[in-house]
Amino acid sequence: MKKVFLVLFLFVFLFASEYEIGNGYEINKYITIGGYFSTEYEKTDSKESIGIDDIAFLLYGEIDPKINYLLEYEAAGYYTNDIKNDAIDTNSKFHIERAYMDYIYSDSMNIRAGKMITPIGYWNLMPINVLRDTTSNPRLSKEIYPKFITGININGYLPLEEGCKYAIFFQNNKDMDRGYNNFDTKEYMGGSVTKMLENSDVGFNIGEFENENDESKNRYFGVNYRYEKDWFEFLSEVIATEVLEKNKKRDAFYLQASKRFLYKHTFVGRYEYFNDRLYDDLSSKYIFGYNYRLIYPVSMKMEYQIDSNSQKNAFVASFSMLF
Amino acid sequence: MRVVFYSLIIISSLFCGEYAAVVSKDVRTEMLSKEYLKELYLKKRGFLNEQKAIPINLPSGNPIRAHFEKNVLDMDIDSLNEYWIEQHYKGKKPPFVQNSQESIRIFVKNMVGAVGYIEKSRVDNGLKIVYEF
Repeated sequence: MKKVFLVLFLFVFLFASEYEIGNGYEINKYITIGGYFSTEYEKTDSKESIGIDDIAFLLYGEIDPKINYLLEYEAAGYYTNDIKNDAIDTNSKFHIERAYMDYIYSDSMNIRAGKMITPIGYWNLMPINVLRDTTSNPRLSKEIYPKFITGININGYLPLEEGCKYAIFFQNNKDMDRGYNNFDTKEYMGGSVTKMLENSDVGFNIGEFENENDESKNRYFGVNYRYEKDWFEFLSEVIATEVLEKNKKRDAFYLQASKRFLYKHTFVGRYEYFNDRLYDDLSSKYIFGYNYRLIYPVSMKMEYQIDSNSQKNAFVASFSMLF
Repeated sequence: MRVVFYSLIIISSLFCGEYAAVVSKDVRTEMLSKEYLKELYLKKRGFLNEQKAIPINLPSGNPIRAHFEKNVLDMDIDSLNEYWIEQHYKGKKPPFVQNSQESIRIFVKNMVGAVGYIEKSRVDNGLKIVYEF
Protein backbone atom coordinates (compact mmCIF):
# COMPACT_ATOMS: atom_id res chain seq x y z
CA MET A 1 0.00 0.00 0.00
CA LYS A 2 2.84 2.35 0.94
CA LYS A 3 4.64 1.65 -2.37
CA VAL A 4 1.46 2.32 -4.33
CA PHE A 5 1.13 5.64 -2.48
CA LEU A 6 4.75 6.63 -3.28
CA VAL A 7 4.50 5.61 -6.95
CA LEU A 8 1.25 7.58 -7.30
CA PHE A 9 2.90 10.70 -5.88
CA LEU A 10 5.97 10.39 -8.13
CA PHE A 11 3.82 9.76 -11.18
CA VAL A 12 1.72 12.84 -10.58
CA PHE A 13 4.73 15.11 -10.01
CA LEU A 14 6.66 13.83 -13.02
CA PHE A 15 3.80 14.32 -15.43
CA ALA A 16 2.19 17.43 -13.99
CA SER A 17 2.69 20.23 -16.50
CA GLU A 18 1.53 23.06 -14.22
CA TYR A 19 3.59 21.95 -11.26
CA GLU A 20 5.82 24.52 -9.53
CA ILE A 21 8.24 23.26 -6.92
CA GLY A 22 7.23 24.18 -3.39
CA ASN A 23 3.59 24.79 -4.24
CA GLY A 24 2.27 21.25 -4.43
CA TYR A 25 0.23 19.91 -7.30
CA GLU A 26 -3.42 20.93 -7.41
CA ILE A 27 -5.38 18.11 -9.00
CA ASN A 28 -8.59 20.05 -8.49
CA LYS A 29 -9.95 22.33 -5.76
CA TYR A 30 -10.74 19.29 -3.63
CA ILE A 31 -7.25 17.76 -3.76
CA THR A 32 -3.76 19.24 -3.67
CA ILE A 33 -0.80 16.98 -3.00
CA GLY A 34 2.74 17.79 -1.92
CA GLY A 35 5.34 16.93 0.64
CA TYR A 36 8.84 17.52 1.89
CA PHE A 37 12.02 15.74 2.83
CA SER A 38 15.28 16.53 4.59
CA THR A 39 18.68 14.90 4.85
CA GLU A 40 21.01 15.64 7.73
CA TYR A 41 24.68 15.31 8.70
CA GLU A 42 25.79 15.65 12.32
CA LYS A 43 29.24 15.46 13.88
CA THR A 44 29.97 15.56 17.60
CA ASP A 45 32.77 14.11 19.76
CA SER A 46 30.86 10.87 20.16
CA LYS A 47 29.14 10.40 16.80
CA GLU A 48 29.15 11.19 13.13
CA SER A 49 25.96 10.41 11.26
CA ILE A 50 24.30 11.04 7.94
CA GLY A 51 20.83 10.15 6.81
CA ILE A 52 17.37 10.96 5.55
CA ASP A 53 15.83 12.68 8.52
CA ASP A 54 12.28 13.26 7.33
CA ILE A 55 10.05 12.31 4.46
CA ALA A 56 6.43 13.36 4.41
CA PHE A 57 3.42 13.67 2.13
CA LEU A 58 0.64 16.24 2.27
CA LEU A 59 -2.91 16.03 0.99
CA TYR A 60 -5.35 18.89 1.41
CA GLY A 61 -8.25 20.69 -0.21
CA GLU A 62 -11.56 22.43 0.05
CA ILE A 63 -14.67 20.26 0.33
CA ASP A 64 -17.00 23.23 0.56
CA PRO A 65 -16.25 27.00 0.72
CA LYS A 66 -16.44 26.68 4.51
CA ILE A 67 -14.89 23.22 4.98
CA ASN A 68 -11.20 22.37 4.43
CA TYR A 69 -9.13 19.34 5.33
CA LEU A 70 -5.45 18.45 5.59
CA LEU A 71 -3.62 15.15 5.99
CA GLU A 72 0.13 14.78 6.60
CA TYR A 73 1.79 11.43 6.67
CA GLU A 74 5.45 11.29 7.80
CA ALA A 75 8.36 8.94 8.42
CA ALA A 76 11.01 10.50 10.69
CA GLY A 77 14.52 9.04 10.93
CA TYR A 78 13.90 7.24 7.63
CA TYR A 79 17.57 6.20 7.26
CA THR A 80 20.52 6.96 9.54
CA ASN A 81 24.08 5.83 9.06
CA ASP A 82 26.19 6.31 12.21
CA ILE A 83 29.59 6.36 10.51
CA LYS A 84 31.65 6.52 13.71
CA ASN A 85 29.93 3.57 15.38
CA ASP A 86 29.29 1.70 12.13
CA ALA A 87 25.55 1.35 12.72
CA ILE A 88 22.62 1.77 10.33
CA ASP A 89 19.13 2.51 11.53
CA THR A 90 16.02 2.68 9.37
CA ASN A 91 12.42 3.59 9.98
CA SER A 92 10.07 3.24 7.05
CA LYS A 93 6.94 3.39 9.19
CA PHE A 94 4.82 6.39 8.29
CA HIS A 95 2.73 8.06 10.98
CA ILE A 96 -0.10 10.57 10.86
CA GLU A 97 1.43 13.91 11.78
CA ARG A 98 -1.66 16.00 11.04
CA ALA A 99 -5.20 14.99 10.08
CA TYR A 100 -7.89 17.59 10.59
CA MET A 101 -10.91 19.37 9.18
CA ASP A 102 -11.70 23.06 9.45
CA TYR A 103 -15.19 24.47 9.61
CA ILE A 104 -14.85 28.21 8.92
CA TYR A 105 -17.90 29.77 10.47
CA SER A 106 -16.58 33.35 10.27
CA ASP A 107 -13.30 35.26 10.54
CA SER A 108 -13.83 35.18 14.29
CA MET A 109 -14.55 31.47 14.54
CA ASN A 110 -12.75 28.67 12.75
CA ILE A 111 -13.37 25.25 14.30
CA ARG A 112 -10.59 22.73 13.69
CA ALA A 113 -11.08 19.11 14.72
CA GLY A 114 -8.62 16.22 14.51
CA LYS A 115 -4.88 15.94 15.01
CA MET A 116 -3.03 19.23 14.57
CA ILE A 117 0.03 21.25 15.59
CA THR A 118 -0.47 22.86 19.00
CA PRO A 119 -1.04 26.55 18.23
CA ILE A 120 1.80 28.03 20.30
CA GLY A 121 4.49 30.56 19.41
CA TYR A 122 6.40 30.49 16.13
CA TRP A 123 8.71 27.51 16.08
CA ASN A 124 6.06 24.96 16.80
CA LEU A 125 3.85 26.24 13.99
CA MET A 126 6.57 25.97 11.34
CA PRO A 127 8.34 22.79 12.42
CA ILE A 128 9.81 21.52 9.14
CA ASN A 129 13.45 21.92 8.23
CA VAL A 130 13.02 23.56 4.81
CA LEU A 131 11.01 26.52 6.13
CA ARG A 132 13.45 27.35 8.93
CA ASP A 133 16.87 28.96 8.98
CA THR A 134 18.55 26.37 11.21
CA THR A 135 18.56 22.57 11.04
CA SER A 136 18.24 22.24 14.80
CA ASN A 137 15.23 23.17 16.92
CA PRO A 138 15.42 24.99 20.25
CA ARG A 139 14.81 22.67 23.23
CA LEU A 140 11.87 24.91 24.13
CA SER A 141 10.01 23.61 21.08
CA LYS A 142 10.67 19.94 21.92
CA GLU A 143 10.58 19.48 25.66
CA ILE A 144 8.08 21.86 27.23
CA TYR A 145 4.63 21.09 25.79
CA PRO A 146 3.09 18.48 23.45
CA LYS A 147 3.82 19.47 19.85
CA PHE A 148 0.48 18.05 18.68
CA ILE A 149 -3.02 17.77 20.03
CA THR A 150 -5.84 15.47 18.99
CA GLY A 151 -8.94 17.42 19.79
CA ILE A 152 -10.68 20.70 19.03
CA ASN A 153 -9.12 24.08 18.32
CA ILE A 154 -11.30 27.18 17.97
CA ASN A 155 -9.45 30.15 16.52
CA GLY A 156 -9.84 33.40 14.61
CA TYR A 157 -9.72 37.17 14.90
CA LEU A 158 -10.96 38.72 18.12
CA PRO A 159 -14.11 40.63 17.07
CA LEU A 160 -13.54 43.77 19.12
CA GLU A 161 -9.80 44.19 18.73
CA GLU A 162 -8.32 44.85 15.29
CA GLY A 163 -5.29 42.76 14.33
CA CYS A 164 -5.62 40.41 17.28
CA LYS A 165 -5.96 36.62 16.92
CA TYR A 166 -6.84 33.96 19.45
CA ALA A 167 -6.85 30.17 19.71
CA ILE A 168 -8.30 27.91 22.39
CA PHE A 169 -7.82 24.17 22.27
CA PHE A 170 -8.59 21.08 24.27
CA GLN A 171 -7.99 17.35 24.14
CA ASN A 172 -9.66 14.69 26.25
CA ASN A 173 -8.76 11.48 24.45
CA LYS A 174 -5.80 9.47 23.19
CA ASP A 175 -3.52 10.83 20.47
CA MET A 176 -4.71 9.81 17.00
CA ASP A 177 -1.19 8.50 16.31
CA ARG A 178 1.44 8.73 19.03
CA GLY A 179 4.26 8.21 16.53
CA TYR A 180 5.98 11.58 16.65
CA ASN A 181 4.41 13.42 19.54
CA ASN A 182 6.94 14.37 22.20
CA PHE A 183 4.59 13.77 25.18
CA ASP A 184 2.05 11.02 25.77
CA THR A 185 -1.04 12.83 26.93
CA LYS A 186 -4.79 12.34 27.01
CA GLU A 187 -5.67 15.60 28.71
CA TYR A 188 -4.50 18.90 27.34
CA MET A 189 -6.05 22.34 27.18
CA GLY A 190 -4.77 25.83 26.52
CA GLY A 191 -5.00 29.00 24.53
CA SER A 192 -3.10 31.84 22.94
CA VAL A 193 -3.60 35.47 21.93
CA THR A 194 -1.45 37.25 19.34
CA LYS A 195 -1.47 40.96 18.58
CA MET A 196 -0.17 41.99 15.17
CA LEU A 197 1.70 45.32 15.04
CA GLU A 198 3.51 47.05 12.21
CA ASN A 199 6.56 44.85 11.39
CA SER A 200 6.11 42.83 14.56
CA ASP A 201 3.76 40.76 16.68
CA VAL A 202 3.56 39.67 20.27
CA GLY A 203 1.75 36.67 21.72
CA PHE A 204 0.84 35.13 25.05
CA ASN A 205 -0.08 31.51 25.67
CA ILE A 206 -1.10 29.27 28.54
CA GLY A 207 -1.76 25.55 28.77
CA GLU A 208 -2.06 22.57 31.05
CA PHE A 209 -1.49 18.92 30.22
CA GLU A 210 -0.91 15.59 31.89
CA ASN A 211 2.30 13.77 31.00
CA GLU A 212 1.45 10.07 31.09
CA ASN A 213 5.10 8.99 31.15
CA ASP A 214 5.86 10.40 34.59
CA GLU A 215 2.23 11.04 35.56
CA SER A 216 2.95 14.69 36.14
CA LYS A 217 0.57 17.56 35.54
CA ASN A 218 2.23 20.52 33.84
CA ARG A 219 1.03 24.09 33.56
CA TYR A 220 2.87 26.61 31.39
CA PHE A 221 2.76 30.29 30.53
CA GLY A 222 4.63 31.71 27.56
CA VAL A 223 5.35 34.93 25.71
CA ASN A 224 6.61 35.27 22.15
CA TYR A 225 7.78 38.27 20.16
CA ARG A 226 8.80 38.71 16.51
CA TYR A 227 10.17 41.70 14.61
CA GLU A 228 10.61 41.54 10.86
CA LYS A 229 11.79 44.22 8.42
CA ASP A 230 14.00 44.44 5.31
CA TRP A 231 15.10 40.77 5.46
CA PHE A 232 16.04 41.07 9.11
CA GLU A 233 14.14 38.93 11.61
CA PHE A 234 14.28 38.71 15.37
CA LEU A 235 12.43 35.86 17.07
CA SER A 236 12.04 35.10 20.74
CA GLU A 237 9.96 32.73 22.85
CA VAL A 238 10.01 32.26 26.60
CA ILE A 239 8.04 29.68 28.58
CA ALA A 240 7.79 28.95 32.29
CA THR A 241 6.31 25.62 33.34
CA GLU A 242 5.21 24.46 36.73
CA VAL A 243 5.17 20.72 37.35
CA LEU A 244 2.18 20.61 39.66
CA GLU A 245 2.12 18.38 42.77
CA LYS A 246 5.91 17.96 42.48
CA ASN A 247 6.34 21.69 42.97
CA LYS A 248 9.13 21.94 40.42
CA LYS A 249 9.69 24.39 37.58
CA ARG A 250 10.93 24.08 34.03
CA ASP A 251 11.91 27.26 32.11
CA ALA A 252 13.19 27.82 28.62
CA PHE A 253 13.76 30.59 26.15
CA TYR A 254 15.57 31.40 22.96
CA LEU A 255 16.60 34.57 21.15
CA GLN A 256 17.27 34.33 17.44
CA ALA A 257 18.36 36.95 14.91
CA SER A 258 18.74 36.36 11.18
CA LYS A 259 19.60 38.55 8.22
CA ARG A 260 19.22 37.66 4.59
CA PHE A 261 21.57 38.95 1.87
CA LEU A 262 21.16 38.93 -1.91
CA TYR A 263 17.94 36.93 -1.60
CA LYS A 264 19.62 33.51 -1.27
CA HIS A 265 21.97 33.83 1.71
CA THR A 266 20.85 33.98 5.34
CA PHE A 267 23.09 34.22 8.39
CA VAL A 268 21.55 33.30 11.71
CA GLY A 269 22.54 33.34 15.38
CA ARG A 270 20.59 31.89 18.30
CA TYR A 271 20.99 31.64 22.03
CA GLU A 272 19.00 28.97 23.89
CA TYR A 273 18.47 28.38 27.58
CA PHE A 274 16.76 25.39 29.20
CA ASN A 275 16.40 24.61 32.89
CA ASP A 276 14.45 21.56 34.08
CA ARG A 277 14.50 21.52 37.87
CA LEU A 278 12.53 18.25 38.03
CA TYR A 279 15.37 16.30 36.41
CA ASP A 280 18.23 18.70 37.28
CA ASP A 281 18.89 19.43 33.63
CA LEU A 282 20.38 22.86 32.95
CA SER A 283 21.85 23.73 29.57
CA SER A 284 22.46 26.63 27.24
CA LYS A 285 23.67 26.79 23.70
CA TYR A 286 24.93 29.28 21.08
CA ILE A 287 24.25 28.48 17.45
CA PHE A 288 25.77 30.16 14.43
CA GLY A 289 24.43 29.15 11.05
CA TYR A 290 24.18 29.82 7.35
CA ASN A 291 21.27 28.97 5.07
CA TYR A 292 21.56 28.96 1.27
CA ARG A 293 18.40 28.79 -0.82
CA LEU A 294 18.97 28.25 -4.50
CA ILE A 295 15.21 28.72 -4.75
CA TYR A 296 13.00 29.27 -1.73
CA PRO A 297 11.67 25.70 -1.36
CA VAL A 298 15.19 24.19 -1.50
CA SER A 299 17.42 24.86 1.48
CA MET A 300 21.03 23.95 2.28
CA LYS A 301 22.12 24.75 5.81
CA MET A 302 25.07 24.40 8.10
CA GLU A 303 25.49 25.40 11.72
CA TYR A 304 27.91 25.13 14.59
CA GLN A 305 26.56 24.60 18.10
CA ILE A 306 28.52 25.66 21.18
CA ASP A 307 26.92 23.88 24.12
CA SER A 308 27.39 24.60 27.83
CA ASN A 309 28.58 20.98 27.95
CA SER A 310 31.47 21.15 25.49
CA GLN A 311 31.20 17.42 24.70
CA LYS A 312 27.90 18.23 23.00
CA ASN A 313 29.37 20.82 20.65
CA ALA A 314 28.24 19.87 17.17
CA PHE A 315 28.49 20.64 13.50
CA VAL A 316 25.19 20.05 11.69
CA ALA A 317 24.33 20.37 8.01
CA SER A 318 21.21 19.56 6.03
CA PHE A 319 19.58 19.60 2.64
CA SER A 320 15.80 19.92 2.51
CA MET A 321 13.08 20.47 -0.02
CA LEU A 322 9.37 21.19 -0.11
CA PHE A 323 7.54 19.83 -3.12
CA MET B 1 -10.48 80.92 -8.95
CA ARG B 2 -10.02 78.79 -12.06
CA VAL B 3 -6.43 78.04 -11.02
CA VAL B 4 -7.65 76.81 -7.63
CA PHE B 5 -10.31 74.64 -9.29
CA TYR B 6 -7.87 72.94 -11.68
CA SER B 7 -5.31 72.55 -8.89
CA LEU B 8 -7.89 70.71 -6.79
CA ILE B 9 -8.69 68.38 -9.70
CA ILE B 10 -5.00 67.61 -10.21
CA ILE B 11 -4.43 67.08 -6.49
CA SER B 12 -7.48 64.83 -6.12
CA SER B 13 -6.46 62.77 -9.15
CA LEU B 14 -3.06 62.27 -7.53
CA PHE B 15 -4.64 60.90 -4.36
CA CYS B 16 -7.48 58.88 -5.92
CA GLY B 17 -6.38 55.61 -7.43
CA GLU B 18 -6.64 54.59 -11.05
CA TYR B 19 -7.80 51.11 -10.06
CA ALA B 20 -10.53 49.78 -7.81
CA ALA B 21 -11.17 46.63 -5.82
CA VAL B 22 -14.77 45.67 -6.50
CA VAL B 23 -17.48 43.31 -5.30
CA SER B 24 -20.99 42.58 -6.54
CA LYS B 25 -23.49 45.31 -5.68
CA ASP B 26 -25.44 42.62 -3.78
CA VAL B 27 -22.69 42.21 -1.17
CA ARG B 28 -23.55 44.02 2.04
CA THR B 29 -20.27 45.75 2.77
CA GLU B 30 -18.88 49.27 2.96
CA MET B 31 -15.44 50.45 1.88
CA LEU B 32 -12.67 48.13 3.10
CA SER B 33 -9.45 49.20 4.72
CA LYS B 34 -6.21 48.40 2.92
CA GLU B 35 -5.28 46.00 5.73
CA TYR B 36 -8.57 44.11 5.44
CA LEU B 37 -8.22 43.77 1.64
CA LYS B 38 -4.64 42.60 2.10
CA GLU B 39 -5.75 39.95 4.61
CA LEU B 40 -8.43 38.74 2.18
CA TYR B 41 -5.88 38.30 -0.61
CA LEU B 42 -3.42 36.55 1.72
CA LYS B 43 -6.30 34.34 2.91
CA LYS B 44 -5.82 35.35 6.52
CA ARG B 45 -9.46 36.42 6.41
CA GLY B 46 -12.21 34.79 4.41
CA PHE B 47 -15.36 36.85 4.86
CA LEU B 48 -16.98 40.05 3.63
CA ASN B 49 -19.47 40.81 6.34
CA GLU B 50 -21.09 37.35 6.67
CA GLN B 51 -20.47 36.40 3.05
CA LYS B 52 -17.64 33.97 2.24
CA ALA B 53 -15.13 35.93 0.14
CA ILE B 54 -13.49 34.69 -3.07
CA PRO B 55 -10.49 36.87 -3.95
CA ILE B 56 -9.60 36.88 -7.65
CA ASN B 57 -6.23 37.78 -9.18
CA LEU B 58 -5.17 38.76 -12.67
CA PRO B 59 -2.46 36.47 -14.13
CA SER B 60 1.09 36.67 -12.85
CA GLY B 61 3.03 39.28 -14.79
CA ASN B 62 0.00 41.48 -15.44
CA PRO B 63 0.97 45.13 -14.70
CA ILE B 64 -2.28 45.83 -12.79
CA ARG B 65 -1.63 42.81 -10.57
CA ALA B 66 1.94 44.01 -9.98
CA HIS B 67 0.56 47.46 -9.05
CA PHE B 68 -1.98 45.83 -6.68
CA GLU B 69 0.66 43.65 -5.03
CA LYS B 70 3.02 46.57 -4.56
CA ASN B 71 0.47 49.13 -3.34
CA VAL B 72 -2.10 47.05 -1.49
CA LEU B 73 -0.28 43.91 -0.38
CA ASP B 74 3.01 45.81 0.11
CA MET B 75 4.85 42.76 -1.18
CA ASP B 76 7.09 42.07 -4.17
CA ILE B 77 6.79 38.94 -6.29
CA ASP B 78 9.52 37.05 -4.38
CA SER B 79 8.00 37.77 -0.96
CA LEU B 80 4.60 36.65 -2.21
CA ASN B 81 6.00 33.43 -3.70
CA GLU B 82 7.68 32.68 -0.37
CA TYR B 83 4.47 33.42 1.48
CA TRP B 84 2.45 30.98 -0.65
CA ILE B 85 5.12 28.29 -0.37
CA GLU B 86 4.80 28.54 3.43
CA GLN B 87 1.01 28.46 3.13
CA HIS B 88 1.24 25.27 1.05
CA TYR B 89 2.56 23.54 4.18
CA LYS B 90 -0.47 24.93 6.05
CA GLY B 91 -2.88 23.71 3.40
CA LYS B 92 -3.74 27.01 1.72
CA LYS B 93 -3.62 27.91 -1.97
CA PRO B 94 -3.29 31.37 -3.59
CA PRO B 95 -6.41 33.15 -4.93
CA PHE B 96 -8.01 32.01 -8.20
CA VAL B 97 -6.87 33.69 -11.39
CA GLN B 98 -9.05 35.16 -14.13
CA ASN B 99 -7.36 35.97 -17.42
CA SER B 100 -8.54 39.54 -18.00
CA GLN B 101 -10.18 42.53 -16.38
CA GLU B 102 -13.30 41.78 -18.41
CA SER B 103 -13.55 38.24 -17.05
CA ILE B 104 -12.97 39.57 -13.50
CA ARG B 105 -15.71 42.14 -14.05
CA ILE B 106 -18.20 39.49 -15.21
CA PHE B 107 -17.19 36.95 -12.56
CA VAL B 108 -17.40 39.41 -9.66
CA LYS B 109 -20.74 40.77 -10.86
CA ASN B 110 -22.28 37.31 -11.00
CA MET B 111 -20.63 35.66 -7.99
CA VAL B 112 -21.69 37.17 -4.69
CA GLY B 113 -18.62 37.19 -2.45
CA ALA B 114 -16.05 37.45 -5.24
CA VAL B 115 -13.54 40.32 -4.95
CA GLY B 116 -11.44 41.54 -7.86
CA TYR B 117 -9.50 44.58 -8.98
CA ILE B 118 -9.91 46.41 -12.31
CA GLU B 119 -9.47 49.86 -13.84
CA LYS B 120 -11.98 52.29 -12.34
CA SER B 121 -13.25 53.19 -15.80
CA ARG B 122 -14.56 49.60 -16.18
CA VAL B 123 -16.69 49.67 -13.05
CA ASP B 124 -20.38 49.54 -13.92
CA ASN B 125 -23.55 49.69 -11.85
CA GLY B 126 -23.53 45.94 -11.12
CA LEU B 127 -20.34 46.44 -9.08
CA LYS B 128 -19.49 48.20 -5.87
CA ILE B 129 -16.10 49.79 -5.23
CA VAL B 130 -14.64 48.73 -1.88
CA TYR B 131 -11.13 50.15 -2.23
CA GLU B 132 -9.25 52.46 -4.60
CA PHE B 133 -5.54 52.32 -5.28
